[in-house]
Amino acid sequence: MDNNELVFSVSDFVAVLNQTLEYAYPTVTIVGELSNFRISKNKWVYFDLKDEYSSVKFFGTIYQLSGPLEDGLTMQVRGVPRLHPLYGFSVTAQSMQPVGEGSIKKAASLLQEKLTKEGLFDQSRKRVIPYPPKSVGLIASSESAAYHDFIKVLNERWCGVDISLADVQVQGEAAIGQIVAAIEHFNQQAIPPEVLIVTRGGGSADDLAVFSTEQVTRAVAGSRIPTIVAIGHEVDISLAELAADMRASTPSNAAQLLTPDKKATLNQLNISSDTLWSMVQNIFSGQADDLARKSLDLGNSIGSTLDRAEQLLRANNNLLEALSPKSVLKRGFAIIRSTGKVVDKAKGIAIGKELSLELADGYITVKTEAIELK
Amino acid sequence: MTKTTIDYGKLSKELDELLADLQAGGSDIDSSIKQYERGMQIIEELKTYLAQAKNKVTKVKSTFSS
Repeated sequence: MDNNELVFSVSDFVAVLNQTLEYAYPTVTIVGELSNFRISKNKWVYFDLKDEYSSVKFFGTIYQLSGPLEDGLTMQVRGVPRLHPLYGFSVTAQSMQPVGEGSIKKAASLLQEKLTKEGLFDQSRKRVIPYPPKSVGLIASSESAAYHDFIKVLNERWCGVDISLADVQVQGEAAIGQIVAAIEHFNQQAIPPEVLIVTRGGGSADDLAVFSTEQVTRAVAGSRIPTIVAIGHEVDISLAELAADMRASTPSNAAQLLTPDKKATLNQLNISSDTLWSMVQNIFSGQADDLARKSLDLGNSIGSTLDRAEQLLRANNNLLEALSPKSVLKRGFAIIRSTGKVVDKAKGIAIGKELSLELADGYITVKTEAIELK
Repeated sequence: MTKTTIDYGKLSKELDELLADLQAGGSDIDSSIKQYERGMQIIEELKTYLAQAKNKVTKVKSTFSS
């Protein structure tokens, strides 16, 4: 034994080794196949990452999980390597996500199953997106083609929209926290935008994995502001898209779904203008027809009244004619008067009294010669 | 937020209702003329808005990028 060789106590050795690790590898990122994955007391997570020849133990909390996991997934885990005084070597996980298309899909499928059971993707949760909105909260990377495409198409189609941009990373580990923070930021505003757009362009399964994490999916589903999630890929739909109130296939498509086309709207306004004019013309013409009809009715009504009055007058005239003493005289009767007064009794007429007889065509004066009473 | 002079959605809805009301009939001449004038006024305001208004992008001051 070399006399210069250091001899440690067990505790010292553990402490020195941890110091050395902390200096040389404050954090490590390891990719491997997940095995022996288990959750303890609904809080602590234990698992191994292994490859063909080796296996490393990990320890973490459920808060670092991107969603439900199962053995066999390829995971990338970042953490702090540490030798525990009692339980040996392990890496304390700080973040973990599935990598590789197959594992990402599998992890997303497990998460989708879990969130579907919770009702996060139910159609009944979908809200109506204001159309067109006056204000939009845009969560995107300002340097991305997705952002520029969205703005370009929006400017071509519509106007007067206030766009608040939350400039975030849209892939990689930091993206999850930033997107969630941006959604929360807009939701906490006193006057929030009318709609949130979360968008990025297409990419590999690894690039897009952020949008199928539990954190981002829950943040989208929990937003008080209606959401559109537009991820530039057609083949697979991310879970955030399923949780959104509306899904757009691309950033440009989001702008199309969000706003009407200005040119079509102007055309429609011109049509409305013509329609308005023709409707008022119809109302005027209807009113004119109505007036003409009433005028005719009035004329007819007055004519009938005059006719009836004329007939009545004629009948009364005939009746008057029939009852007139003059008519009686024509039939051979005479009116007898004595000193101008009509005589209707023989009694009281003195013999020799002169009487005047009125006939139809003149007067005769006669003298009474004899009286015979009935 | 940009202060827009008109509320496009509100005016557009008012125009639709006004057209539906006129189409249903039953309005007298006086109110029809008023509705027509209001409709034309709305159409002009909407056209002006579409011709003049611009979209405005404001970057949120909170830092989300690490």
